[in-house]
Amino acid sequence: MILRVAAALGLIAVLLMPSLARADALDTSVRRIALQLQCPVCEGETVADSPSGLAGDMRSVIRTKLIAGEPDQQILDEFVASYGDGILTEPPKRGISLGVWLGPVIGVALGALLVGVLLSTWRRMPGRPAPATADGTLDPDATEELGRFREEFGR
Amino acid sequence: MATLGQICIVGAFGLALYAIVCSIAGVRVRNRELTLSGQHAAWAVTGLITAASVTLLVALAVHDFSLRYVWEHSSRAMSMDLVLAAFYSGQQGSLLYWAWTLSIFSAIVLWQQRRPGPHRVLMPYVVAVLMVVEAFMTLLLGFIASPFEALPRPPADGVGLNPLLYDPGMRIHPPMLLAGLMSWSVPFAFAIAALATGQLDNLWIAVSRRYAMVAWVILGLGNVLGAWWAYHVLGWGGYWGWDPVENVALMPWLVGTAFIHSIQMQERRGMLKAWNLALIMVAFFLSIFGTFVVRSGILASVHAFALSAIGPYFLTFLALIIGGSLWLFFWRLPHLRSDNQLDSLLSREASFLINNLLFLGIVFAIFWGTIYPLVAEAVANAKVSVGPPYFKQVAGPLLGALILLMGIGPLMPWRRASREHLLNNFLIPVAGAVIGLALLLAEGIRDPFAGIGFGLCLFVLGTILQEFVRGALARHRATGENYLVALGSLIRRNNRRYGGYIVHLAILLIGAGAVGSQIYQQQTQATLAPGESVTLAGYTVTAHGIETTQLPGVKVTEGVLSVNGSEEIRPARQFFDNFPQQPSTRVGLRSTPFEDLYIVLGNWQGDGPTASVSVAIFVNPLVSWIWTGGVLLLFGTVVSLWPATVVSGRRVTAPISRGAVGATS
Repeated sequence: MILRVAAALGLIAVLLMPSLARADALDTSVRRIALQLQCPVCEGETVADSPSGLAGDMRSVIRTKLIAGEPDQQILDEFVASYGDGILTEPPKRGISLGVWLGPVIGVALGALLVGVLLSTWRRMPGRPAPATADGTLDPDATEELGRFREEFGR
Repeated sequence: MATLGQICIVGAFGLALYAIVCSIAGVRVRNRELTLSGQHAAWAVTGLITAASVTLLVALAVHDFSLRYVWEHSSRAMSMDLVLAAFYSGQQGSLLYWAWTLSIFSAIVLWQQRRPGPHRVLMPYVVAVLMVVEAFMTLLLGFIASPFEALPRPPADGVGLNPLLYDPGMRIHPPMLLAGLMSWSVPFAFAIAALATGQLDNLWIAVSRRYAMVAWVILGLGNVLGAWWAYHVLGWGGYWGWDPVENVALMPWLVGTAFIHSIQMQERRGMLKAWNLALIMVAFFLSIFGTFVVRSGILASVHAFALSAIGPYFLTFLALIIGGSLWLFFWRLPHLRSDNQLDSLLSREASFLINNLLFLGIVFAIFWGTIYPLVAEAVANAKVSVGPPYFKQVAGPLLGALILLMGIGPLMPWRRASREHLLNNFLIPVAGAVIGLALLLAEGIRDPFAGIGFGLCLFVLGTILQEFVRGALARHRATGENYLVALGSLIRRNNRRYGGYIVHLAILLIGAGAVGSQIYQQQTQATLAPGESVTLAGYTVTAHGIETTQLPGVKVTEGVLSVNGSEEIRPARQFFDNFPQQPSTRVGLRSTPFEDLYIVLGNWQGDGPTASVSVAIFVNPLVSWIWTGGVLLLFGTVVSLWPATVVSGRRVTAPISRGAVGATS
């Protein structure tokens, strides 16, 4: 408790001295947490980047809690408790938000399956004869490739 | 003015409908006169929409505030270039701009394809499809979102442009992006024409490949310019926020990239015919979806969607074109069989397939993440935010795999690769990447993601340089030209291929820039009294108060800062008279090839040289590589398109590519 009061007093002191240059690890920590929170009153901006007053207030709340020694996760949890999961920029992997994570996994897996099936059907399909025929001439594909190289090397 | 513009739009709508009917009826009853009449109507549509656009531009230029659009988006204090840029800065104007560029592109297509040839059979349907899109846009412009709505009592002055739009980037980014979204209509029209006529071989691709490339580069640059604008104006230290509006413009570009790659399978091997048709359709659908989202902001919430006046119309149109295209597609599907089989998994064909899988995987992930908040709200009434961490985690690995494939794919031979081939082609790039990584490790790069990212980039760089060096050496041996001349003629004679490599280099630059700036960004905030300094990453920034200047219509407050004791840097806030509550940011930027010092002015206390200022300072490594990559992207595409450059009907119809010509020589 005494620690908290001291921290709060320290914070007030800092706020009262805006001319004091400060650039320290605390800034980095505040930003690290603020980047994980969606600004509730803006479109698509994080608390770290939003110029709105509410975001500014939230940044000072984060700062206070950090000075009070709360771990990152606890601070995030407290914001979730008051604003709901929608406050997190990274949707949690639970509940309704789980769907957003599962979608791409299922999509890419189905796509890979499709490509796999396609590849195996194509490989079984009867095709044209093997590259080199009995009389030693090349098949049309190889001739074309050869022509391209000849042209490329200027011959 | 209002009446003139309105008449032009409604006239264009009527003529577009006439062109559709004539083109299709002309083919049905085999009446050449009728299809010709349809084409003439398409020319007239171009003329009328141009007239409407010029009318709006003139109304803006003479400050005719009797038009609501002019009043809402411009003011007398604005400079003339900004007044004209107001043309595409609002919803109605940008839809008119979209319709105008589409009509110009339609005219270009008609002109370039005017000569007789096998492609002529496609043209009536191409005209019909382009005019369907045009008719829809003119319907919106004429009856739902008219830029020519009159105000009963004209005010003395206009509201002016939104402060965010005052940046030079805004004069070029939106027209690029909108034109990029629009231009996918052209290859889509050829695809539909191919389905309608049953000419399902390479013809439609041979004719429309260049149009697809042009669409690709315009949309690509539109996206890069958007990032550049965000970086300079929004002042949050980044350039890409995975915002819905950004995502919807990126998706058609990614699908288009997949298309540009996979059509080579059809050109060279007669494979993936159905797939290419499907891809270009998806690219077009996503472009329409993108135009709609960019112009209505519906993705914020389902409720905003219902309120948007043009929303239901766009959705209906989208449903109709998707339904119609699918019907045509499945009707023709039995005729879309592949000519060839796959010989090996170690082949160019297989790498193109994986390329397409990855591109569509990324697009699906982005699409899903973009619309999921809407889905969650509609289904469970839950508020879900899907922010950058999701997109980075999901798209990141897929993009990395794509970069790897960019090194492997081009070096894979068609049909099948042998072990010697693999050794011969990949030994040097892999060795180069390992040495490069060791050097980076010695330089202190420890982050595993940075290691993977830069390692992949180095590997691909090795494969591309190897191609250039080997080609130039072979040419030098064969012709005796000196190495530089050999390199030049190598590129000139195989421009499609080497232009592609240059584009790949551009993507590498953008990729390396993204990895560097995402992982190694440093940031700090400070409130500085005059004479006080803050240090970040070797830069010492010292404050010297503020300076305020009143310009016509805007008050600019600059923070006066010096960097390392000498160079002056002045981030600013601009307060526009008409929008005092919405100050816009001008970032103080000191750019070097390897990092940007990026300073944003926050608040200040006091005035003049004695004021103390709060600033946010970022050091963003490698960001300028992204912009360089954008320029190189344009250059590579131009090289690739340069060839037998005269894009005349005759030349384009000569099927496929110079590769095939080489085979007969």
